[in-house]
Formats: sequence, C-alpha cells, structure tokens
Amino acid sequence: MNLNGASLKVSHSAWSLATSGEYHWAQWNDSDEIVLYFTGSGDTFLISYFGYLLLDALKGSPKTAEDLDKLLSASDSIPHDLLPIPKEMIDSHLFHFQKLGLIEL
Amino acid sequence: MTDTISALPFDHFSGFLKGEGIRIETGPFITRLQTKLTDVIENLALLYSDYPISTEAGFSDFHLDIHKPNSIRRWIHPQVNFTFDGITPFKPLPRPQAYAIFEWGLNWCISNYAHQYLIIHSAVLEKNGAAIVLPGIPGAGKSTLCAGLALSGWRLFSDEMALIEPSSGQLVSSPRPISLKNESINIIKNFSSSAVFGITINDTTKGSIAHLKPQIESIQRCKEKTTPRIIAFPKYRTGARTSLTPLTKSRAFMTLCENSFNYSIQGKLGFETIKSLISSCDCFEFEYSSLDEAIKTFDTLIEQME
Repeated sequence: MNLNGASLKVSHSAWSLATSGEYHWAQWNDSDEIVLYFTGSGDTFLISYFGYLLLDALKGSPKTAEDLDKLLSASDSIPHDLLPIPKEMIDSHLFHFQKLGLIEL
Repeated sequence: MTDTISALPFDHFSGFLKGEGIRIETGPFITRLQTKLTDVIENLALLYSDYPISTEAGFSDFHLDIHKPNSIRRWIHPQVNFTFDGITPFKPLPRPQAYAIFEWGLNWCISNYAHQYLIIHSAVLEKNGAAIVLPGIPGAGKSTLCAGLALSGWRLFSDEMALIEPSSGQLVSSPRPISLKNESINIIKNFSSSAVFGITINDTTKGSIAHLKPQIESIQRCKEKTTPRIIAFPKYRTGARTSLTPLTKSRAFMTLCENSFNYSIQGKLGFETIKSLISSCDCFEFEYSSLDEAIKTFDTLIEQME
C-alpha cells in the first residue's frame, strides 16, 4: 500500500495505543525530541514533539485523525502560528507509528 | 585476596598459572586463569603486577584457559585457543596473539555475562570525585584519549566498558590494561616517559596492538564507585581543532543505546538506567587532534564543575 492509500485509511479509522506494552518516556528541556521506550517490542525511539503530542492524545480512548486534529488544534501545545495542522502531517505520523507497532486500529 | 602478583616470585606465579591457575581480581570480577604460554605469563607479570591475586581455590566469575590446540596446529602455523568455563567460544588465533586473546576474551566474558550492570562500550575516568564517560566506536580515538588522561592524574575505571549499577546509577571501576593500536602506541610512548607497555602484537585484525599498564592508584582504589558527570563522544580527526560541542540529552541517549552491550537485555531497567545517567551528566561531542589540548579541555571542564 502506498502512502496515499494508507493516508485514506488512517484518516477515517479510530486509532489507539498498542495494547502489547507500556510507554516510558524520557524528556529533557534542551531539545524538543523525546525518547520513548516501548516494552511491547523492547525498542527505543527518538520521537518529535509533534509525534509525542499525537501519542499522548491517544491515551484513554481511540481517536480518528480528525479527532486528533481537533484535539491538538484546541490545545495550547502547538503555537497558534503553526495552525492549521496539515492533514498529511497527522496521517504520515499515524502511518509511521503503526509501522513501528506503537498504535493500532 | 591480599597478595599482588608482584609479591609472588615469578617462578611461583608461572607455576601456578601452568597448574591450578591463579585468581586475579579486577574490580568486581574474579578471573581464574590457566596458561602455559610464556609470553602470556610474562606480559601478565608486567601488566597485572599490582592486582590482587589468590593462588587458593575459591569463587571465580570466569574460568579461562589460554592454550595451544591439541592438533597439528601446535607445530605448523601455530595457533592459540581461548577457553571459557570449558567451552571455546572463538575460532583460534595465530599463536603470537595469545595475550590479545586473553584480553579480548575477558572483555567478551564481562560484556556477555555481567548483566548486573548496564554496560556501555566506553572509557571511564574519574577526577575529583566526578567521572567522564567516553563512549566510542573503534577508531574514534577513545583509547588514546583514555591513556592520556590516565597518565595525567585521572583515575582509570575502564578503557573498554562503563559498568553502571542500575540501583545507584554509579559507575563501578574495573581497571585493566589499556589496549592501544597502531599509531596510538607511539603517541602514548612519546606522551609520557612513565608509560609502561607490554609486548607489541602485530598483524591482528586491528593492526598492531600493545597494552598500557594502569597506574597503581587506579587499581588500589578500584572499590570506590563514582558519579558520572560528563558524557563526551570523542572523535579523533587529523588536524582538527579541539572542540567540545553540547549534545542534546535525547540524542546522547540514543547514541548510548547504540554503544551498549546489554541495553536490550536489560529492558525497562536499561531504559531507566540510561535515563538516570543522562540526567546526571552534561553531554558533548568532542573532536580533537592534540592530546595535550584534549586533556586540558577535560581538566578545565571538571574544575568548573567543582
């Protein structure tokens, strides 16, 4: 499946954090990159701040890309001059996280 | 363990190695070694003269035997074998590399079995109660820098492995001879007249190597743990100006993971240990070509931290 095909799929699906493991974070104030250790795979990832916000927003209940867009746009986490969030940016992150086994449908 | 190798007459030392073996203490590890190979025995007598030993039976972490194979290879293109707890984990090496296979083999034992520690491929040295961690890929200039610092008043913890105690976050010392390669051997010989080297072993997969004897203070104080304060990823580049560039902690975290021998085995504990390590340290990328300037840089850095 190419990214466009995947994009269609991820936009209309409700995503949730993977249930196969726990998420452990390491964050310092000298950069906006965050380290994630996922016990499900035993892998460690360097995640962008935006990626972190997406994963954080998936805590609790499943959400579609549209839900995530609304949630993040309404929060103070993203500077207002960077809004609106490009739809492709959310979709590509979700697609990537799915490939890494961090989120699931 | 109260005696040191230097307290034992050479004939006795040699006799024990050829017979029941000798237990050598290198920080938290006790290694029982047996060998009949004269060059290995002589190099050990020189490089390990200040280490605590025991000739009596007792617990050992690793049981090693360096010996010639029982085959035609004893005589034609002679080879040497490394045996650990009765198994031979490596292919034999050419006979002149017998001492090298002991050092490499012991490193292999520690990195594969000492999982009570998080182990990072790194040199570690301490001064004034604060330690620097110098992780590096082979060829990065880690050992040369480590040797220079060790000969300039820094206490050697290890040339090869940072041993981090997960429960305390402290670094554990296991000082051993520093392995130097090719040009680095002469750089250190010219750097300090007090540098004591073992035999030079040529034609290894790493080129020519020789081992630098650790300063006695590092061995005598090897029970003293310390707190990590600086992580610097060294890179030697011919002609480079000395530069210490801050590295973000998250990037340093990822690079430390890549340099760890057992991060993946440790799981969540490994993650928490590196997180704690990184949080307690300033992180840098360090490029150098002048050893004198490099040492001055770290001396200044550690003084500023006091």
